[in-house]
Amino acid sequence: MMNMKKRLLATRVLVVISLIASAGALFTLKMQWGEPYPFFHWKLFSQPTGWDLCVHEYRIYGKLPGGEYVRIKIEQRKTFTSDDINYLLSYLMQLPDERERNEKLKILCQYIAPEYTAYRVVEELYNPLVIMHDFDNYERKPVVEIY
Amino acid sequence: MKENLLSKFIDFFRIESTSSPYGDKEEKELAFNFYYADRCLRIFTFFWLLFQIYNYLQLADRPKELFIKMNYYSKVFLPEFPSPVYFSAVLVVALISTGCTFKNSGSVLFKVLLLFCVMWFNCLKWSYGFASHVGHFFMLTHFFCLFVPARNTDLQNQRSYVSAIRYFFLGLMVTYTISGIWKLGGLVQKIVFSSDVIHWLHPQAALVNAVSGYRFWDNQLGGLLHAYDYPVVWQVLFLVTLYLQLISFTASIRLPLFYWIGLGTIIFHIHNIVFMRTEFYVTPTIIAILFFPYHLVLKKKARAINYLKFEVQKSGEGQDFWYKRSYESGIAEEFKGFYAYREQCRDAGKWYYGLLFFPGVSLAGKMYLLLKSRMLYSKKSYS
Repeated sequence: MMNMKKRLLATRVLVVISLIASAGALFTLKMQWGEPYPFFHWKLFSQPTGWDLCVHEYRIYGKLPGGEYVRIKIEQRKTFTSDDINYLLSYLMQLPDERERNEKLKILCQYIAPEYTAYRVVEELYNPLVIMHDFDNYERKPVVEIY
Repeated sequence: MKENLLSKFIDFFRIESTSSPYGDKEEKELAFNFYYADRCLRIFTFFWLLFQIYNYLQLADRPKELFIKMNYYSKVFLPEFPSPVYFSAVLVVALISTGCTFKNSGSVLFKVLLLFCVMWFNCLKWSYGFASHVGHFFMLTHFFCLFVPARNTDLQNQRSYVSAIRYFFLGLMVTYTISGIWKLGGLVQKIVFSSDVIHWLHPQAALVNAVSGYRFWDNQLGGLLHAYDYPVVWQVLFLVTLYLQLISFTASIRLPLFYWIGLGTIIFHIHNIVFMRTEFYVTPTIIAILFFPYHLVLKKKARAINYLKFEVQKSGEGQDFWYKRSYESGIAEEFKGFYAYREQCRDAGKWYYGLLFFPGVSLAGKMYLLLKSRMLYSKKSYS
């Protein structure tokens, strides 16, 4: 059984370690070692979302038998919440290995929307001040085709 | 003057207790509340663990190829989607550890095991391309409490014990301060280098943020759009939030602020859930558990800590208001000016006395008293 003084010291050490590890994230990220202690960048909303009035998002489009592509709305699909789909999609889109990326994208698409024969990832660019009145007014740029 | 400022600066960050009987009472209250907070935390953890079964069954349905190792921890302990046997083993260890730490919260071994399991369950959830911010605070809570037992009677080591509790809260709340610093940095950078873009103090900041946030889930703001008709409300709210986040680390340093910072942080999270659609339920619950004033509910049990007998003397007014507390033990405390008013307010049991301890309030109070005395002086000299 530890005595109270040692416990106090140990707790202090934990706090100091936490601070050092937090600051260390600046260094490890620079060295591309990732972020072993993920609390430093807990900077939710350090800028308002859409601050540059040009937000880009990825969306999956599914191909109908007629050859036409329809937008797959972001919502709960099977075990994926809207958040899960959004973040996994943007994670996969920044994978450096194109083959791996397309393979995983295909698996994701077939899982969340199996009713389509082919898919397309589209980059959508919008201005928040425009879409607040005109929701469908945004730019569409197809980026990846998935067969 | 310089020395005075320096010692004030050091006092601001001083975590070890002062010797005043009042501080002693506040510390006892903190220890009392921490005991029940820890109990509630473990009960919450128990249900959280049960929820992980549902979580596992959900994730098991997903294609195994989408399981991605996101960090060092999962590279070692979660190299692939865990088998039902592996999952059950971790769950059993976690449940046993929760039970053991409930019975004996001094057990460092079981706390380490529990922390390991909590990290394991979180990493499982984070292994789909997204190390979500949900769950971080919960992990940190189990991390910083590793060595802090929950006891309601240990007067022998009260000093060290209360200091340990204070460090526990310091470690937790510093994360909010850091996030506040990021906000402040982002704001300053934007205002100085590119003032035409939408920074947090821009009139349209809250609106743009909400529209984009809702669009992220393919939703429209709809009727909520009118909530942004008065930008100044949101600018003020932003400044209040920024201030609250920056000073969060003082929660356990200045104990009168403790409940206020807890409450403010909960409101901040609820506000984010409603207006920014951040799905963030575990953290506000944990903060409610940790910062809840249990002594106000368990009045009978808390009677021992509320006992404090002293006599009060006061004189003068305005800047010269003088307030003295003399305790039975012979110790006395004296206060002047704003501080005297603040202590009087505290002794009168005013619900808002804690607000007067927020950094900056004393400065404003002193300025006010100074101005008031000047005006009185000039009035007198005219008449």
